[in-house]
Amino acid sequence: MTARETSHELYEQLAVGHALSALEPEDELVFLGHLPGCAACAGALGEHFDTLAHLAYGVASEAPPLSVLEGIRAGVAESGRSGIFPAPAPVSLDEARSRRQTRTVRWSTAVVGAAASVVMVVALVLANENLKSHNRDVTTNAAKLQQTVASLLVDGSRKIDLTGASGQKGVVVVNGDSVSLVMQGLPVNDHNSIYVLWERSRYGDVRPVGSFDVLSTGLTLVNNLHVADKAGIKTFMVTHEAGRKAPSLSTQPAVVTGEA
Amino acid sequence: MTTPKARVGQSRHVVDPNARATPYDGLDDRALVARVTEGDGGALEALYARYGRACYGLARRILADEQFAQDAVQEVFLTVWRDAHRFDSTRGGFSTWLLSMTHHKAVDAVRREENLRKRRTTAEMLEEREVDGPKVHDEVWSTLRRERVREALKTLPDPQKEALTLAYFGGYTQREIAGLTNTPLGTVKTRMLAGMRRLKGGLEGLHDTAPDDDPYPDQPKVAL
Repeated sequence: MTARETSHELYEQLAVGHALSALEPEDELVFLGHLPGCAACAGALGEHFDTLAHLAYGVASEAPPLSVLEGIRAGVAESGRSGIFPAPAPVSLDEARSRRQTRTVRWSTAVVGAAASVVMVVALVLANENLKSHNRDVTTNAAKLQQTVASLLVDGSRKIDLTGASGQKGVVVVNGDSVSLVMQGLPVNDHNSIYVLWERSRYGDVRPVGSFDVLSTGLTLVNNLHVADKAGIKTFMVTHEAGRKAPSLSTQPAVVTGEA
Repeated sequence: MTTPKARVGQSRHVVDPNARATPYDGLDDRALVARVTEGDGGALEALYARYGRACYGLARRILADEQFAQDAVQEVFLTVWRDAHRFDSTRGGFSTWLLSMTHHKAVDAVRREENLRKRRTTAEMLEEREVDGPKVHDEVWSTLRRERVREALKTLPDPQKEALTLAYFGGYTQREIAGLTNTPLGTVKTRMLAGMRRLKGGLEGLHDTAPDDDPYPDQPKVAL
C-alpha cells in the first residue's frame, strides 16, 4: 500500500463515521472539506448509506400511533402549501401532540416554522462607484457591513462573524430561531448556481439553513432564514453550489466559515 | 466498488392487502416524491404508509422512548414535505434517504436527551421484539430481510459488530465508543471501516427488484 493510499484510508474511515453520524466535530469538518473533491469517498458514502438502510430493516418495524399521522397532517396544513389529505381533517399540531401526552416539543414546532418560511433575498447594492481607492472601498464597505449588522441586533441576538480565505466577510445574526446573513465580497452567482448557508450543530450534523443569490459585489442581506436548533449551533458556513437548489449535503468547499 | 447498489424499498409496496385502494398504489417512490414536491399531501401519506413503520421501528430502537420516536418520525416526514426536492434519485433510493434522515434525527435526539441513552449491549440493541400488526405480505418480506441482516451481522467479529451497533443503534460517537469499550480511537475507526466493508459484503444481493414474471410484483425481493 502506498503512502497516498494509506492516507486516503483515513478518509474512508471518516466516511463510515459520517454515515453513522458518529464523527467528532473536528473529524466532521475534515471529512466535509475532503468530500467535494473525492469521487471515491462520495461513492463509498452512498454505499454506506445503502448498507445502513439494510441495517435499519434489521430491527422490527412497528406501526406508529395514529397521532403521528395526525401531526404530519397538521404540519402540512400549517405549512401553507396545498397539501390535501383524505379525511379526517387536519388537526392542529398542539392537538395532535396532546393526544399522545403533554410533553415539550423540542424541534418540531421550530422546524415546521422553518418549513413555512420563504427565503427572501434582498440584495443591497451599497458599493460606492465613486470611491477613489480600493482601500477606501474596503473601509467603507466594512463600515456599512457593521452598520447593517447593527440594525439587525436586538436584545438577546447572537452575532457570528464569518471569514473566508480570499477576504470575504460576513455576519450571521441569530434572533431566536430566526437568522439574518449579511455578506460582503462574494462574487455574483450566475443562473446555474446558488449560495447556501449551512449550520453545523455541536453534534456534527450539517443542515442547509437557506439558499440565496448574490446580485452585486457590494453587501448582500438575506433575511427570514431559520435554524433548526438555535441552542446547538456550533458553526455556520457558506458554499457556492451548482444548480438552483441547495443539496442535502454540501458539495463545495466553504467560502466563509464562523464559529458560534 | 463495482457492486450494483442494493435497492431498498424502491419497488411498489403493499402494506396491507385488505387496505382500501388509493390512487397512489401504482406509483413508485420517485413518482410519489415528485408529487410531494408539487404539494400533493396524499403522496406524502402514501410514502408514510410504505415507510412509516420502518422509520418508527428504527427511531424506537435508537431512542427507546415512544414519545421521542413519534416526534422524530413526524419531523422526518415533515422534512420530506418541505425538502422533497432535495431527494436525488441518482444518489440512491428514497428509502435509503428517508432512513438516513430518521437515523440522523433520532441520534440528534438521543444526544440531546442523555437520560434516554442507557448503556445497552449489542445483543440488546438488536433484540427482536414482538410487535402488533397484521402479518401481511410486507411483514413476510420484512422478516426475511431481518433474518438476512442478522446473518450478515453474525459474520462480523464481535469488536466490529459492537462498534457499528453502538454507533448506529446507540448514537454514540467514535470517541464515546472508544471510551465505552476502553479501546484506542484509531482502533474504533479501523473496526468500523472493516465492519462496514464486511457487512456490505454479507448483504450483497439483497435487493427488492421485482422480476416481471413474479406472482407478487408488488413485493420486494431478497436473494437468500
